[in-house]
Amino acid sequence: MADRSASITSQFTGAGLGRSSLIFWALVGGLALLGGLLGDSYVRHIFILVFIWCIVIASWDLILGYAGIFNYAQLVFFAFGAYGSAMLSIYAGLTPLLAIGAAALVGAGIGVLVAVPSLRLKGEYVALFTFAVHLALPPLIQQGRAIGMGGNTGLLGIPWLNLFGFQVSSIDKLTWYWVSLAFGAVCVYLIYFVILRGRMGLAFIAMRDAETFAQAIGVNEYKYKLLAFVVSAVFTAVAGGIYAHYTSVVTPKVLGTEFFLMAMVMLAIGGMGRFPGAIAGVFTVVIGNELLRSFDDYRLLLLGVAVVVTVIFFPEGVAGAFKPKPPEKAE
Amino acid sequence: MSLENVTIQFGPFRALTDLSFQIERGEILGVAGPNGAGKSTLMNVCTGGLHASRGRVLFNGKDVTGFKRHSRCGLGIAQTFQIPTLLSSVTVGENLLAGQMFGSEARGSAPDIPIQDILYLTQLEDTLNLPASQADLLTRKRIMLGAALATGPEIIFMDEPLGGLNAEEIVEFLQVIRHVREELGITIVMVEHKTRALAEIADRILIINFGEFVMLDRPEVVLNDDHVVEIYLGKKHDA
Repeated sequence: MADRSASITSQFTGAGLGRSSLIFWALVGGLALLGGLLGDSYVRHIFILVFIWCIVIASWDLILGYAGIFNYAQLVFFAFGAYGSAMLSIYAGLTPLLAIGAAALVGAGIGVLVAVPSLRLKGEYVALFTFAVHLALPPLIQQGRAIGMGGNTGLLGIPWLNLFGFQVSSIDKLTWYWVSLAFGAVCVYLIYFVILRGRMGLAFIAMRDAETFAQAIGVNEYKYKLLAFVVSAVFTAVAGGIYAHYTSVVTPKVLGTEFFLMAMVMLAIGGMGRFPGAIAGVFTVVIGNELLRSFDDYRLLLLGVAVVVTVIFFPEGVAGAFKPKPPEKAE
Repeated sequence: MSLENVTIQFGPFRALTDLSFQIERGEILGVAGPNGAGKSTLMNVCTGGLHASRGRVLFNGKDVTGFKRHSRCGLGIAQTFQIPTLLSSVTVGENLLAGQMFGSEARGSAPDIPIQDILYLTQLEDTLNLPASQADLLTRKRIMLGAALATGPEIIFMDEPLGGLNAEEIVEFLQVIRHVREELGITIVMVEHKTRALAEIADRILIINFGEFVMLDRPEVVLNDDHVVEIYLGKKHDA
């Protein structure tokens, strides 16, 4: 028992973080340059959506893929972020950047509200409950007309983003490209490199892989599951806020089936719980969806086929395909 | 740790009835009894998986009856399970790290068992970077024990630690368990069906049947007791 001070090195104690951060930010830098090179504003628009989706899907991956909680209320957090930020900037006159920050707080509150009943439930019942919350929200928003939620038509004329006195209109796709990339990159970095590679990440994985064992080695299940909901909701609400100020319109359609299914498809194709699977899924699905636009009516069919093929041949998603093969067992 | 008149009631069914006994510091206590005797329930009452319907569980003089698993872990009560379900998507080392990290979190201070001692006892030094999902059964049991030790316990409850192991592996793992007690002074309570192995390692054996206390004594006394033999094998027929 020689070296008594030695400890275990792992990615959860910061090993290799410098190197992978470098790669990450180099890629982000590459994307930033790409924005300048892409001349077409429609293509930029697609990338802006990709960056916003990345935040949503990374947050969903955090709770569903890493913490193993069957939360299907992800777009609820998104909707509250979008509506919260929109209403705060329209009615309270908050500058959009501040409104997005406030939306994050709204998200945290909603995260707690959804979490508390969910934490009393097990496994698939969490899925039922959270999806019920998702389904219950559109009628609530319609009733919310009285408090200025705009009912079915939604909220129009949401103020443009104001960056240090500079108004960013929705038409200014290049600035928006960089703004959404910056938000997306920071959120994704915080989620995958800071939160999930720290204590919280290890707690999530422990609860997902071996719930009882995790409790036995001291993981406070209630605390970490609550944190999973809150963290996931905060980031998703930020994404909702950015989305609201980018499109300057929010309608109950953000809770529509198409959005929800797209998000599911991104996670299924990308693969959950293994970075960068979910992010790769966002790029693949959004860009693939655009490339398939010429197929018109067959687009959804082709997307469906893509999901089926992925699920059958790459059950762990795109990320799983690149997983190193386990070495042959030595006898 | 001691149990005082612990009863566990599931609806009309009583899994444990008025059970009282004391676990001595530093001993290896074997728990045996036929299937359905309430051994697993007993383990769960001690580690926080279940809460006693009546009676109290005391640890170092403190009433822990209502404490959850992670809080009991913070007090120094660890546990290993019959089926070694580990953190399968991370490495062996990270399983131990999790024990260390959350064990310290639960107790509010760093555990006082150096990780090197744990690696030495469990012989996991060379497998730290192996994905836990690729470990064989014996290694998985070592990992589970290692993670439990990393939380810095005073007592470990082991549910059928020898289950599924072959004769050679049993000898090997018994040696590991023995070392944990000798080197670290940790109290061990183990539920085990393999009575011969249990008699070999345990200082005392507790027999329960139908959720009730039958006897608690040294192995040679317990295993030669007519009543215990009868529980296991049925009544002797007088010719």
